[in-house]
Amino acid sequence: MTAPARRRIHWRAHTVLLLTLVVMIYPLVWLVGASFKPENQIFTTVSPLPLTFTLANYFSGWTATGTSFSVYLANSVTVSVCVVIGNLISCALAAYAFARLDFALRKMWFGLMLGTLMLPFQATLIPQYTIFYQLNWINTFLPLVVPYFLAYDAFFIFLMVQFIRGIPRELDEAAALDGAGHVRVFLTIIVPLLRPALITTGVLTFIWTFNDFLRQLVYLSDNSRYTVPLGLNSFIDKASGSSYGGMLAMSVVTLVPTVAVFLISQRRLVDGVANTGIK
Amino acid sequence: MPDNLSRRGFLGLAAGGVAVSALAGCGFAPPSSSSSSNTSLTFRWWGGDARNKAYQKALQVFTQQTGIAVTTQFSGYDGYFDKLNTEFAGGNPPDIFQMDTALVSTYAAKGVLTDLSKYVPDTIHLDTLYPAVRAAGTVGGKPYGVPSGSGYAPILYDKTVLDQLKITPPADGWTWDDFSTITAEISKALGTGKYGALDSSFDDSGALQPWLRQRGKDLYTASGEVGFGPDELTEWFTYWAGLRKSGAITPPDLLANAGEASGTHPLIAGQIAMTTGWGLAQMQPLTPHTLDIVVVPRGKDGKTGQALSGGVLLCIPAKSRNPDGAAKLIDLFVSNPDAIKDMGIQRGFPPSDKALNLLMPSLGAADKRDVTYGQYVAQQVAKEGLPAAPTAPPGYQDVKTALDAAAKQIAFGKMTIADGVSQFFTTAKTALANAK
Repeated sequence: MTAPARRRIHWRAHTVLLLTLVVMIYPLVWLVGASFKPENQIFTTVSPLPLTFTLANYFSGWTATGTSFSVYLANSVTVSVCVVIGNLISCALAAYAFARLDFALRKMWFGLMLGTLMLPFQATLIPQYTIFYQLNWINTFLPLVVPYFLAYDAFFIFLMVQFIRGIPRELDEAAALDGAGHVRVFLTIIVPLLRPALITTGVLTFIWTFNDFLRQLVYLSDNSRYTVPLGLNSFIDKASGSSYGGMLAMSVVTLVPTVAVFLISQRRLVDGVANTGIK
Repeated sequence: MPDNLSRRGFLGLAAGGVAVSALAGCGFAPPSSSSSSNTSLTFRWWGGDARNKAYQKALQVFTQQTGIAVTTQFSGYDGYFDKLNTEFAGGNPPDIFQMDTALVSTYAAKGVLTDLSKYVPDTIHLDTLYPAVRAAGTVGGKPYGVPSGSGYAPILYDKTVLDQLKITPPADGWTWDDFSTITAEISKALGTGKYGALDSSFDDSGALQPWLRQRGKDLYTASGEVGFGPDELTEWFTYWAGLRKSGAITPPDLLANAGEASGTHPLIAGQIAMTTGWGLAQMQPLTPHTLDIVVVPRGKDGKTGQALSGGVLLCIPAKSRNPDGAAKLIDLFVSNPDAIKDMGIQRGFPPSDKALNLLMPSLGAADKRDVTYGQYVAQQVAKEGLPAAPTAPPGYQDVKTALDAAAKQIAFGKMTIADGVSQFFTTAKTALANAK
């Protein structure tokens, strides 16, 4: 193949990629652009960029729902960070047990654990609600957080089991010869090597929890305990008129934490997924 | 693991527990007002910013006068009923909540709502409301919900466009023949790709219901059956087919965007000049054009056929912890002058002369237009003396879908009118029978 021919193919591929990029990024550009438009121009002007630039949506949106948007952000971050901590600790422990320990009916328990992945959220919603109601946990963050300290998220357990299975057993055995028990093997051998999987788990857990809607909607009722998705939902009401400007502006604000977490951890995230055998 | 649980290991494992207990202060502790006494209430509604503020102000009046503290819970409409259903199933519904008029019969049939007749008329002064509005929350002769406001089916039109085209806007006395004439005229003046009005042959409550009531029928009978026959529906579809043929109304592909009050709705996008199904409150904020409303065209006998809907209802769950207090709160909406003023038109349009007179002096121009129009409709309804519209029965959603499917298949030319009509009645009857 001659050099010019290769370059032409290159250009063609790039053009296709760029066009795809435009299609994918257009909604985001529209969102950001519209958040700076005056309310009555949002849907009536064609240009995605504002003709009249205004910050009014950000100021009005921040307080529009009666509770300051910073409260929602703080709540969302609190819940997400707790869930991340819970998932990291409990899923790593559970995964270690499944990958390295020998106990009765291990295969059956592993199968059952994977089985919970197939259960749709809706199937367990009402029984879970009843349990948390009996515990008097409704309208608190507890139903959103506590399950994750009990290795609730089978997906990440599975991810880490796969990862630990890839770590040579010789390392464990060498440590055991030196007198290390399971706790020490876990903490000094497995956890450091598990880092890529832990980072993947942390980032995905954060983003998924931050964006979760239905679970938070069902368990939180008090506006001072609302999280960001619930706050955003309060902007839209088809019966009594919606404040789209405020909602779009706050959507942009909401994107900041998740995009930041993703950008910071992007490379490690890819490493983690690539090394676990889940491709 | 009997072997060496080192101190460091133990600390590592305990870190999670510490993190949780450290955060126990904010959001993790149970809410303080969860006691089930007679001095507190939880009130749930969906609404936009304006409604939330107006209701909270009115609830302060309530707490001052009754000593009952109200915990307010409000959100958007999305997910509202998902949450509510979960709570009903889990035995923990709010003490009083806002209800979609169309769903009240479904909930009442399951026995999860309080029959309010024991509170009428001593606590809830239902007789203040317009008689036609009162029926909105009645299922099987018993009141299960009280309308928080009144609603009606208008035609919304773009006054700016009509003025530009020098076409006289429709007047309240117009008929369905006038509708054909004026939409054809607009269509012609606007040129290709733009149309006089939306094809509303699918719109059950916004267009078909008044049309049927002008003919002495209704969408449903009091016993929950379909309230009209193949003859009426054939006439209805034939009328719209004529308009479609002459180009006065939209081709069916534009209907995809008509389901939401957003910038893509053909009226806001400038593809049509008239639509059913929406009011000023939802559409005016979306466009710099001036919009206006007029009553749905009259029938041959001059009747508007309007049915005042309850807007939204207030209902008390059977498991409410404070039903007496909740009933007092309902009466706040019905008869408390201060609260009525605080709530403005955020509770729906005034459902009584009392509320109307209290509100009129303080309203802005756009709200005044809405309210005056609502008053006009209420007068017409009283004058026409038609029976109040029965509440939509369980399964109504499937009937609505069946009408929508038949109307659109006819519009797309996939089905003859006769086939569409027979398909509708087969589907609708099965759906209503299954829901019983």
